[in-house]
Amino acid sequence: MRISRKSFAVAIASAGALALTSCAAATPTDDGAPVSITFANWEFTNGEAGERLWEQVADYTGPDGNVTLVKEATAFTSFSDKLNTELGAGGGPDVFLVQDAQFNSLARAGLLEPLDDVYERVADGLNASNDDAVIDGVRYGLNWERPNYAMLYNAALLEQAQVEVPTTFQELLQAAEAIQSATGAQGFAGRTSTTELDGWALEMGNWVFGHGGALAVDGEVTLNSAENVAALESFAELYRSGAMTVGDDSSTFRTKFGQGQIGFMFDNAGAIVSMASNADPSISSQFHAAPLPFETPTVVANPTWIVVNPHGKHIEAAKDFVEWVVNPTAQQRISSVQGAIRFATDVELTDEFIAANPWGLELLALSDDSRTTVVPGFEEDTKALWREFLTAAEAVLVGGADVQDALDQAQTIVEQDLG
Amino acid sequence: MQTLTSMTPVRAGYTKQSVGGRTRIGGFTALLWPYLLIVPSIAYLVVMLLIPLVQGAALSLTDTRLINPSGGRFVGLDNYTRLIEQPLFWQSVGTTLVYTAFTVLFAVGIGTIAALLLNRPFRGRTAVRSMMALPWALPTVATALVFSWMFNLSNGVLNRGSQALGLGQIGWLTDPRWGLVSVTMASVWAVFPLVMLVVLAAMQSIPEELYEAASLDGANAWQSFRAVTWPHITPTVRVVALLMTIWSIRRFEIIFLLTGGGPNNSTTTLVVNVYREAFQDEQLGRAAAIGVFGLLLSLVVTFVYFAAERRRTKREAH
Repeated sequence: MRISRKSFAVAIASAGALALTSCAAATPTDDGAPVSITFANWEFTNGEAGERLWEQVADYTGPDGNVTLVKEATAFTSFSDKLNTELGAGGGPDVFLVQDAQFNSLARAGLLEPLDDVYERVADGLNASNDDAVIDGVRYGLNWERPNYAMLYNAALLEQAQVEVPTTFQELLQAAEAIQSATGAQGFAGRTSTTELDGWALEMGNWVFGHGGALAVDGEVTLNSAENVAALESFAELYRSGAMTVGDDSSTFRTKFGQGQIGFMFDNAGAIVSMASNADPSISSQFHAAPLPFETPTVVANPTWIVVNPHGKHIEAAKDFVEWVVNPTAQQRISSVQGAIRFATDVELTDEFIAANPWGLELLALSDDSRTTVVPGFEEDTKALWREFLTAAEAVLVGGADVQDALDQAQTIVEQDLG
Repeated sequence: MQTLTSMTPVRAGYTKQSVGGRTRIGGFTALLWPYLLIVPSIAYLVVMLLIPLVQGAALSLTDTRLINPSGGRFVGLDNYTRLIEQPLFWQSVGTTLVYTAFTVLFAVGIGTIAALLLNRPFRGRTAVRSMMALPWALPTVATALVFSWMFNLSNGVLNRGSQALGLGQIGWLTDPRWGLVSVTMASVWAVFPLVMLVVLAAMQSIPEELYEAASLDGANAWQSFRAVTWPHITPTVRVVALLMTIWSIRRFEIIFLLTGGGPNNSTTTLVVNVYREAFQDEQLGRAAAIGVFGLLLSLVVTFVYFAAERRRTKREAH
């Protein structure tokens, strides 16, 4: 077989052209040239509320009017796994939200851009909710929002079942059973599977904190403490009562709550905004929030930081966007959708919002006594600790294991893993 | 037709040829040309298969984390030692083997029976064949979604049916006793059409005269199948069973989408375990160690298949 010189020349020229094309594409943009920055946020997937949230930031154009914001919407369930993978590979969005449980490990791995300069420019207007985004003296994020959990309930179902808002676990159990038998609706809903690990950890945190428990105390892991055993026993009792949804994922039971088919949930401000905005007003007007029915009033808060990718192509443009997010106008716009949440600055709820969402002030009132699920002293191992705790919980719920035995085993595994 | 007009020696083993006014390069380059043609294939295999394999094996000897992939330290066989001591690992090996065995058994069985039925002439055969092939053509995500609704505890069609029959609810995806059954059912539904299509193709290559001869000899349908059809499709069934086995060992999407490895780890196969270690626990080194084990498992299956095949060939030759 023979090939002509002309063929060789054409092949080489083609390869050269391809290489030049790719080089041209990689050329950095000049100052003032159009810039696109990607903003990754799982809340954009929250149906109508997600769309409205995106509308509040979509018209951002930067200080020089040359920035286009690109939406990157990934569902909450896979958000952190996808983000870790992208960041580990040196990619990822320019600006993104990161939950507290992930924040520490990303910062320590050098995957978050320091934002001290941004903070200095905007510090005057910020509230204390931003304080925890500093690691070893370096600030890596600002507070996008700090939603807290509460016991959400549908007042119409309680009325039909003729039950009061419960203030103890036994009252909750009885109320859930009463709602189920009187109305046909499900009494209580919540995650029950490690398939939704991150979300279940946040929900289970309420049971643990409510019973006075913690996954570690004074630098010692305490998965099998008496308080944690009591918390899991209560949860298992409700699960086995038949008054709790089993087998529904969070998007399904939240949809059901929005349709008036569920009495109680332990959920957060972001979720109720989404459920209320997608629900019929005659149903959403029945949504209320109350303290958890446990002795300890502490609820889970899920601080969500807005951060910048140090491997992003337009770091300064990304920082400008973060700075814009905490200005009063942007805060008011974001608050108009997200509602009853602590933001980076103190934003008052509008009268219109309060009138349409009676749960707003009820929920915000609980934020003063809230804490995150990050395990003090084990910040980078938080996810692993919750995984073992919830694996034990799953063994109890569907495997019939004894609570104490399951948590003892989890404790042993964690101690081996952490050395 | 072009004629060779001149041939000028340039250097040893290399000639410059002028053909019909155009210059051609022959000799040494012509000898290299076949090798040049296979370079892309070899490059693809090296880049996409060999290098990742070697890197994966090397990764399994480190404590690399997902969010810091270049910061791993060499830890020797620590990841393997930890795996061996971990009950969940051995459970996932067992689950993988059970899942693979039943998926292959039912997929090959149902696929072969479907092919036999569809090989007979009947009205609307083409339409039925197309419909039967649909599960294979559907995206796995769509299949998993449909099955997750069907398996739903309170509203799923299966439980509605079982309740109507007075059998009560079954926790298809929530009861550890049923998790693997459900996942296997969904997998078999998704993959049996491939077996059906491949076996059908093999059946259609069987000469009609053989069936006519069998018929003249008085063979009934079963005897025809045993004497004519089965010997012809056996090699195809064997190969498709091997492929099904390897694919089942490494199947991920449908299992993960349906159960995420639950309930209570009852559907955590090796591959789901790899995902958990790598992307949830962020332990790339440990995940790579499980991956290496999975590779060895696939290699053992393949080796056993070829060893059995060689023995069978020798036996037939004698």
